[in-house]
Amino acid sequence: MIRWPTKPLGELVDFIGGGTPRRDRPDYWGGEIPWASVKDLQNQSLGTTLEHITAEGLANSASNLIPGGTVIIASRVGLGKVAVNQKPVAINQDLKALTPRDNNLLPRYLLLFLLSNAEYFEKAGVGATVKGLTIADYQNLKIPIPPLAEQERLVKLLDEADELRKLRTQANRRTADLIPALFHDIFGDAGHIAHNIRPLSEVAEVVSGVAKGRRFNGQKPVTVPYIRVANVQAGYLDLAEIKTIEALPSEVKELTLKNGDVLLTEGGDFDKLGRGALWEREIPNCIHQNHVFRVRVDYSKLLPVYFEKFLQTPVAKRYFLGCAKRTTNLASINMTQLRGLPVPVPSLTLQRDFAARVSEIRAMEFQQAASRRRLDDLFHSLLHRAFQGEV
Amino acid sequence: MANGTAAISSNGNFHSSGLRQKVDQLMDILWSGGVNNPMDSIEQISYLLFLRLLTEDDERLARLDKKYTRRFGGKFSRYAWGNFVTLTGDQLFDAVRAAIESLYELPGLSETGKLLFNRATLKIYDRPTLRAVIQAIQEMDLTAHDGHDLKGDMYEYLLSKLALSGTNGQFRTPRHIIQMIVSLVDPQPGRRICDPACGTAGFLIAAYQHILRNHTSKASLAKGIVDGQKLEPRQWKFLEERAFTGYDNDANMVKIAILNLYLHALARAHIELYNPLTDSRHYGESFDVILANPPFAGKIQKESILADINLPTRDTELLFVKWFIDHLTPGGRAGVIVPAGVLFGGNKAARKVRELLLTDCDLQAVVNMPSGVFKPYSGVSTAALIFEKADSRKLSADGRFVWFYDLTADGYSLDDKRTQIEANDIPDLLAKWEKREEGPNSYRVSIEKIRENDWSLAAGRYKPVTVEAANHDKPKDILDEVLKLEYEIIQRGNALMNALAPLRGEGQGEGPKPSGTK
Repeated sequence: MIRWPTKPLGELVDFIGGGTPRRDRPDYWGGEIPWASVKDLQNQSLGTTLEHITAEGLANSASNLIPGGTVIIASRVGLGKVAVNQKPVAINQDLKALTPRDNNLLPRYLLLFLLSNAEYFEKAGVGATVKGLTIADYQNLKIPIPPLAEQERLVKLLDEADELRKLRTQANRRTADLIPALFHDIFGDAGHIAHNIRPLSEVAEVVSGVAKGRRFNGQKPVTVPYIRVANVQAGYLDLAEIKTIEALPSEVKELTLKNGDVLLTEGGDFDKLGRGALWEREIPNCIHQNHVFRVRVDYSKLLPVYFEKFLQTPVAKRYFLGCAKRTTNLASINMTQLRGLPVPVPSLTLQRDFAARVSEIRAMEFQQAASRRRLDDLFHSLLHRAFQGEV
Repeated sequence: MANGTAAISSNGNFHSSGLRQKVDQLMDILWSGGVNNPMDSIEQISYLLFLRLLTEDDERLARLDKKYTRRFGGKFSRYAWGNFVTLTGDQLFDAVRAAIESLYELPGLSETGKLLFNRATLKIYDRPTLRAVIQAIQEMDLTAHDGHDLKGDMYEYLLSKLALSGTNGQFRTPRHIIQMIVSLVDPQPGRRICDPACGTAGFLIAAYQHILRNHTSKASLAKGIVDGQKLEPRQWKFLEERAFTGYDNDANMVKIAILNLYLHALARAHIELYNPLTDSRHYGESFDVILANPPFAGKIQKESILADINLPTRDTELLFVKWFIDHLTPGGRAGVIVPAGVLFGGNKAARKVRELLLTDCDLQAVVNMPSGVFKPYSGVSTAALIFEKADSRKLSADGRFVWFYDLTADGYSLDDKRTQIEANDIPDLLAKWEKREEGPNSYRVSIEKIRENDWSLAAGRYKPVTVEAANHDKPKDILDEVLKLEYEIIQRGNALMNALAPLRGEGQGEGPKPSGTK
């Protein structure tokens, strides 16, 4: 472990603030000069800004034009956000530009240092009101100053780890296209399978669940876990929080979820309409709410994996959108409409073949997700250790 | 009638005629002379302009017909426009005031003319200002050139200075929106056309011009002349005397409407100070065409509302829609603007009105307009409804549909400035209207479906939602790309591993470690 000498940040960089031109002067706004607020600090690079000002606006306000390649931090709200601007940009009063006084500090090294302290900034800023950190807090922050070559080496390592994360995300995203593509490859555009299209009610049983807060008129209910609308997400189940509900033992017997059940919500945003998720976990005695439908397939005709993936196709979505009851932003379907869903039913052999490949792809996706988490850990571990002299 | 400054305009274009600058100059003179309210300025200009035109008309008729009895004869001769041109100071003020206050008694003045000068008075007290205003009006070239009469355009431009934001829910309807609605309704000669909330009479004038344009030869139109030559004499007579009716409950608006119609060659249109929602005088009349942009966002006292309207609400917009339905003749057509709330409002009255629009009437189009259409007066979100009253019996829902069009751009920016821009859906709307074509902005919705949705006309319920197409890449190709990425991850991971090599053996609890170390 090497301990590099540290210095207070205030001795190495100047903090330049900004300002906002008067809003009641239209001639100050909408010009050529990008003008950044904390909203523009979305990732570590500051490119375009939401608003622009004119030269007059810049001249007649506290805003300053910051040259490209400068580290800019959020100093009042959004603490912990930090970026380097690509082009010259004017800033508002909630941002500070950190300009090194000499050439002994690489901007990207400074950025990563600030990033490694982001958590500290976030915590320091938490209060009943937005209080922010004072400039003095930043100025007193001690930054290790290794020689430039060492700064370069650390920046390169961290950038490389960051690059691995990005590649991972890219690979994972592309893998997500595999199952729909496989479906299309095997079954074609599902709407064009001319033979054997059956209403869902002929190939599966569709039931709704129990309502909350009922009276039981003297009968004794039991308390069991249940699936709410919030648990059924687009294509997967979010089981982080499972609530309980009262139901009669006979209902529990009837509604207990079994492996292979497909759950659908009755509505939501247009794009979530009719999305299903497969129940594959074992939560004993778990039932579902009346706003969630359960589809239990007839295994002699339909496989749950095939059915669940069919629900994700444009054909199924179009059907649901076509018959849904809609308000301005939300849409819902009823049980009759779900039972009437026309389902193309291919041979079981073909369905089994598809299911087997889906499970292989999902195993791969599972590994990829784990890899993604560990690469995040790697980046943060390196970020932390880089400024402790441990890498 | 000729005056010394004739022939400024040679090509019949208002913007190049110099009239626009004259109007601006007039408003400036009045403003600096202490007449600060644009409504007052327009009223005062209207009186003086009318006085000048009446005088010129009188002189023209006297020249043409020896037996003609001059209106400005006898004791009225001192009120003729020509008298003022040479006067100044108190003499001028007294003479002009006497003229304006007495004109309602002028012999041979039409009913609407009398209405215009009813309780009229001069409000330009500063003498030099009055002198300058008279001078400026005298210098206006109001003669027609090559068949182009610019008086109407000039007055419309003057009216565009009216900013009545918020007062009584009045605001001037943009002329291109009026024209769009008139094109959709397509009024015909021989029909009685009414705007029961007429404001400056923009709808009536647009309907008149629409009829003229449809009865002008192509050759004339090509020259930019709209003369309605193909109209028969009885059709002309009907247009001038019986076709147009306008009501407004604001006395100033009525005056403006009268002069506006007069300047557009409709001196005999029937304009009346009348509140259709509270006054029974004309209740039960019927019209072949109703065009209107009624005041919204107002409520009237329950006791004042006409019982005949029979709708459980105090909202003016709903009461007006009911009034439109009640006052159309069977087969009559309406084109009206309503605030978006009428399309989906959940109260009993709103639902009733929509049900009537779809059962007692054939609602043909709902044009949703961008919410900036009425800027700078108001940012309210509105729609235009086009409907036809059924022939005495309820319409069946079978096979009928409503055509929806979502107007996203109307050719003007949707901010307070409303500057002209290229994006404009109106030509597409008019092209698709005849066949009720579906397209990116338009779709048909069956009456059946609207009934199932509790008669809601909210576009959000019916607008087709596009479903994103499936990824049609081959699974093999996708996997190939993924594996290439995996390979790159492995290679770069290994390189990073080497770069971190000095760590080896330090025995940290977390972080990357090559397998086999330690």
